[in-house]
Formats: sequence, structure tokens, C-alpha cells
Amino acid sequence: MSQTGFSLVTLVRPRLGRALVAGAICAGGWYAGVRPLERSLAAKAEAMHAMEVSLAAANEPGADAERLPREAARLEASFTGAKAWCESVTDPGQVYNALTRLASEHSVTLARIDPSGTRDVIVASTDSQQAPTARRRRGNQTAQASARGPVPEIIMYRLSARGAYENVCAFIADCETSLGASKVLSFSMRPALGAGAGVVEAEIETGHLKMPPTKKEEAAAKQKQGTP
Amino acid sequence: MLKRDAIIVGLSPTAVRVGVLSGGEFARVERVGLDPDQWDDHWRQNLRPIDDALREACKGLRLRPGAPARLLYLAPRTLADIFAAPATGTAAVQAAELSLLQSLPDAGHGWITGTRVLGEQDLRRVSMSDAAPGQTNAASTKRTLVLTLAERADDADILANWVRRAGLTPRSIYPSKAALLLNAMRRTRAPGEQGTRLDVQLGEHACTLVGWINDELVLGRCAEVGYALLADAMYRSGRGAAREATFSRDAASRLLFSSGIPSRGQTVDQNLGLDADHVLPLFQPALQRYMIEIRQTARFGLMESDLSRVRVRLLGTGAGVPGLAESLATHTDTNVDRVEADTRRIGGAEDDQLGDLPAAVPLLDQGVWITPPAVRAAVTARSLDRAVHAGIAGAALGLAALGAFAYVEGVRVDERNSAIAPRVKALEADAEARSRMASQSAEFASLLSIANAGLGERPHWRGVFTLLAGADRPGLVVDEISADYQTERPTLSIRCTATGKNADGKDPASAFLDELARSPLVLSARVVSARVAPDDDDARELTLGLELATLPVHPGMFADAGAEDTE
Repeated sequence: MSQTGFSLVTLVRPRLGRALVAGAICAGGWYAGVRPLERSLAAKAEAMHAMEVSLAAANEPGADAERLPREAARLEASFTGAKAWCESVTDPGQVYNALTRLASEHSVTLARIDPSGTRDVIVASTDSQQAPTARRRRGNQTAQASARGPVPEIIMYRLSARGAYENVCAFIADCETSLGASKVLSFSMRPALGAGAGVVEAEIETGHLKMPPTKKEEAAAKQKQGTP
Repeated sequence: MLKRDAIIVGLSPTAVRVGVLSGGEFARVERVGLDPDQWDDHWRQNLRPIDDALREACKGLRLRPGAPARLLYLAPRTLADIFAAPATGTAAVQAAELSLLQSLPDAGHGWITGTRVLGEQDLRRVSMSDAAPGQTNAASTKRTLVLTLAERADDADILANWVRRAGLTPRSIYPSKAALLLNAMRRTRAPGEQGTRLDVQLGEHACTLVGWINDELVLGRCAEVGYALLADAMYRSGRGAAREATFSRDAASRLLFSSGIPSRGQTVDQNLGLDADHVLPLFQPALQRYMIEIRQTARFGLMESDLSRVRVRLLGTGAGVPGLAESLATHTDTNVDRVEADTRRIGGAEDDQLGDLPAAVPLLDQGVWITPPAVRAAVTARSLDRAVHAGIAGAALGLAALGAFAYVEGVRVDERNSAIAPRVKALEADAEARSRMASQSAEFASLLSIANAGLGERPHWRGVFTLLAGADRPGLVVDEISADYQTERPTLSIRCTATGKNADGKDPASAFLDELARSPLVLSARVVSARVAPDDDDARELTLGLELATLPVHPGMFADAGAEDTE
């Protein structure tokens, strides 16, 4: 039977439009609903894979994991101690006070305390933990030091002390151990003229390490200066 | 109504019929009569005037709305005929199609056309008198009888829409004339029969005439005369003679099938006062038409020699009219046998109740039905809708599946992450601690480096002073102690005065120097200078020089604090 009659195009066109609209809605649904889920899943899966890889690659914590906190605490304490030791000197006035207090503790009379200058501490490389390469007077190195920024320096004092021999010896020894990063550069000790037996007078030269201020400290100092 | 039941709607100028076919038999039929005089008007108005007739018939049968239905119909522009093609096979079909298209206006544009091979004729055996049985004519050839069918596409849509407006779902349509022809070819075959036979299947508005010689098809045609002519004659005679305004066409039809063709002097209906004298004059033209169609068909379809031996069989619904076969036999001067219709299956219903509907039954399983463009469009639209909906549903399901998969996988990954998170966290903490330690170590080393750079190595002054306490011995007076650490190594100078000797005879300064030299705090000890005191010959002024051992600033200096903290 040969058929004739209706146009397929007229039937298809509106339905094609509906199908396209439905397709667009589905695509929108995928874009708005499913795609984020898929992306989230991909991200999670990637994170999980990374974790599994890191777990597989990592050594079993075991005894090392138990020892680690102890070692960390020990290192922390040592480091804190060293830091405190190095940073015990903050300014010349504080050194002066510390020396006076120490002398007083040892019953030593300080006839004179004179600052004898400062010098920069030049460290070749802190990363390589190499030994210092040079120590020079501040006057020679001012330009280089300022170019590098603040550097550690040694504050030096010359003292004239008088007291019992044992006390002066203890004072000299404690100058190195009780004042933080300090060093007795030289001393000369002789019996005091016109004094009793056992009383000596000493000329002592000390050096005290002063660390440069940290950025935080600098900022705090600037703020303090700016505050009326 | 069971699902397997089929609904067949019949449309003719005289009636609308709806039959419910169950198990191959009509279980229920509803007939609503129409006025044939209004037939053309009905078509001009797209059959809308007879919507109620179909609805009434459907209502009488209590059909469910939307039930699928097929339509057997008569339409004014339907073409259904038999084309005798002087060829066989595809050539015959092509010839029939070509002939059909040529006979149609606009070369068939806007028409639904179809052909169907009914049978092949062997022209050698058309005449029984030309040759003895078994002998053949050397010049004989074959021809093919092809049913050609054409219907206007817009008429088909009108029919489909008419059925749809009645609440049914049109499936397909088929012209009753074509159905009668197909059935005639199929049902009148009598295998093994000898002789010449003309089967006349009388339908409501058409009849088919099929000729057979020794069960070989020799002719077939369709004439547009049916028993409706007789029913109309009965109606007009009833209305005229009895002046009975209420005498309806349905009543006339029923009366025709009950009283049939009356003989002279016979009373047709006593109540109406209708007798043969009223009816027969009006029956005569109809009978004449039947007679002419039969004679003409036999004359042009059969050999002259076969005409005297032809046997006519009357079949179809029209054969149920009592006395018709006898009347035709008288008029045609041939033997006319009436074959009982096989459609009395609705328990007491008259033949006219069914009309041509039975002709549709054998065709139900055959692919001859016409699907109107409107139906095809609706079916196609439904298919497209289903496809679109299926696509949308599939896409939605796909999206949902994707979303569900992503969600479930996300949950699974979350669970897995949660399971390994503590280990990872521990690992990260471990790494962080190591990193912090490394950083702190570097910083520590940096501090120590700065301290060493600034302070350098230092002697153990307290120990040194303890050593110097050994100078407090007889014969030794320390005048001055000085130390200098401006050079690479710290040096200590002891200026002293020694007098006399020790008990072992040794110089007290030498003994002191030996003690100093043995100390690990002293790298070297020596007498730098010695002289006799200017004011005492027994005394010697000595200068002792010591080079002191030093230690750099080292981590161990701060280890005690760490150990204390951890403990």
C-alpha cells in the first residue's frame, strides 16, 4: 500500500525542540549537579591517592616515633637555652648593670667600668655552619655591615676591680659563665698596694655578644618610638 | 471487553455498524441506520452529521473510550477494481499500478494506492469447449488478476477523525468493496470441482462476481449493486403503499430479510397492508440490475460455449434474502444456488444487522489495511513522543546514576580518608616535627656559629684559678697574674718570686710549674724568664708562661637544660 499524507518534518520539529530543551536541562543538571560531585570525587580520590602514596613511602614510625618527641624537646630546650644565652645582652647599659651586680655578688669593688668599643661579628655562612672568617673593628666595616643589615656585635668593657683574690678569681670566672655570651678577653691581677694581705686589684677586659634585633623586635621598637 | 476482542466499525450510506469480534465471531453488533439520500452531504461535512450515530452505536455496546477500532467503509471516491494484466509476476503488478495511477486524477497525487495479486488465469483453459480436457492450446498465455485500490488521503483522514471523534482509536481502514473482492477470491474456491461456475457475492452496496472453470479463476469483477437496492425498494413501497410515515429503512431492511422476494398475490406485511403488488414493481429494477450484471459478466468473461453450462452461486449477506436466488434463476435462466451465509453468529440477529462487516474478519490478520495519514501521523507522533520521553528519562536516569555513583564513591573515599587520616596526621606531625627540628638545628647551629665567631674558644677560667691556688706554698710568692686572649691561644703569665728549696730540694716554682703542666687545662707551661732578685740573693724572680686549653661554644653547654626539661 503506497501511503501518502503527513509531513514527518512537522512532527519532528517540535519534538526536536523539546528534546533539545530537555537535553539542555540535562546538561545544565549535569553541569550544576553532577559535575561538582565528580570534581569533588576526583579531588578526594587524588588526595586519597597522595595519602596512600605518602603512607606507602613513609617509614613505619615505630621506635623512631617514640624517640622523636623526646629529641625534639631536648633540642628545643637546648636551642632555647642557647638562644637565651646568646640574647642575654640587649644593650650596653644592661651589661654595665650585670657586671656591677656580679661584682657586688662576689664582694668585688669595681673602681672603674669603661666601655672600650664594639666590633662586628662576621660569619661567613650560617647555613654551612662555617667558622667565622674575620673580626674587624666597626669603623672598618660600617658600610658592609649596613649593606648586609644588622649584624651581631661584641660590646667590650674594661674594668678595674679590687677585692680578695678568691673573689676576684670567681668574678672573672663568672664573667664568662653568668653573663650569657661573654668572654674575658684579658686580665691582669696583682696585689693591691697599701691593702691587706690577699687583696688584689685587677684590670679586666670583657667582651659581650649582642645579637641584632629580630624583625619583630624592630617593628615593636618602631611602634614604641611612634607612640607618644 | 477483553483485550483480544476486535472492534470493527462499518460505514455505508444506509447504516453505521459497530461489531465486537471475539474469537473470530461477532459477539455483539450495533447498527444505526442512515439516510442514504444524505450521504453526499455527510461527506461534504466531513462526516460530522453522523458522529452521533457512531457514538450511539458505541454507547450501545458500552465500548471503553479509546478502544482501538478498524473501519470497513464505503466512500464516494474509493476506487476498488480488478485489473486483468496480460502478464505474470512483477510485470503484472507494475502494469496494474501504472493503470491505476493513470486512472487517478493528478497522477495519483494525494491518493493512497495499493495492489494485490488475486490470482493467475491460464487462458488455454478459459473455454472448456475449445479443447478436450487435458489438451492445451499452443498459443495460450497467462494473465494476472490484480486488485487495485485507491483512496483519497483526505477521505481516509476524514474517516479516521470520524472514528476518533466517537471516542475510539482508529487503527486502519479498508473499503468494503475491496474486502468483498478479496473474500470472493478466497472463499469461493472449490478445489477439485469441475465445470463452470459464477459466484455472486451480494453485499449491501456492492457485489462481486467471480468466474471459475474447473476451479481455475477465469474472471472477477465488482459491481456497485447490493441488496441495499432491494431494501430501498421495500422502503419506498412500504412508505408508498401503507402511507406509513413511521416505516423506517431499518424496518424495511428487516422486512426484506424476513419476507424476501414475494411471489404474486403474496402478502408481504399484514400490519402495513403491504403485498406483492406493491413491492414487486419496485423490486423489478433492482432485480434487473442484478440480472444485467450477471449476464454481462458471464458474457464478457466466459466463452459463449460456457454460458449455457454456467452455474451461479449466490453468496454473501444478500444471499439471505428469501426468494432472491429463485428470482434470479428465473430472470437469468440459469441455475442459481444459494449458499448459506456463514455469518449467522450473533444469535438471532438478522443478516442485515451485520451488513458487510463479516468481510473484514478474514482480513484482520492480513496486511491489506490502509493506515490513514492522520493515524500514521498520530502513531509516529506517539513513537516520537515515546522516544523523546525515553531519551529524557534515560538522560535523567543517567544523570541520577552518575550523581549517585559520584556520591557513593565520594562517601567511600571519605570513609577511606577517615580511616587513614590518623596515620597520615601522625605522619604529617612527624614530618612537621622533623622539619621543625631541622629548622631549629640549623638555627641552633647558626647561633653557635655566631657565638663562636664572636667569642671564639674560651679557657675554663674557674679550673685555671683552682690550679693557680696551688701557688700558695712555702717559698713562692705570686706578684702578678695576667692573661691575654687577643692572640690565637689564651696565655697566662704568672710573675712570682721563689725563695729557698722544698723539702725534696726542688725549686718551689719548678714544682708549681710541673703541677700546672700536668693539668689538662694547660697545653704548655714554661719559665719565660728568671733572675735573681735585686734585693735578695737567695730569691729568684720568675715569669711563668702558660698556654691554656680552650673549648669552643658547643651544644653540650646547653644540653643539661634540655635534659632537665624533658625529665
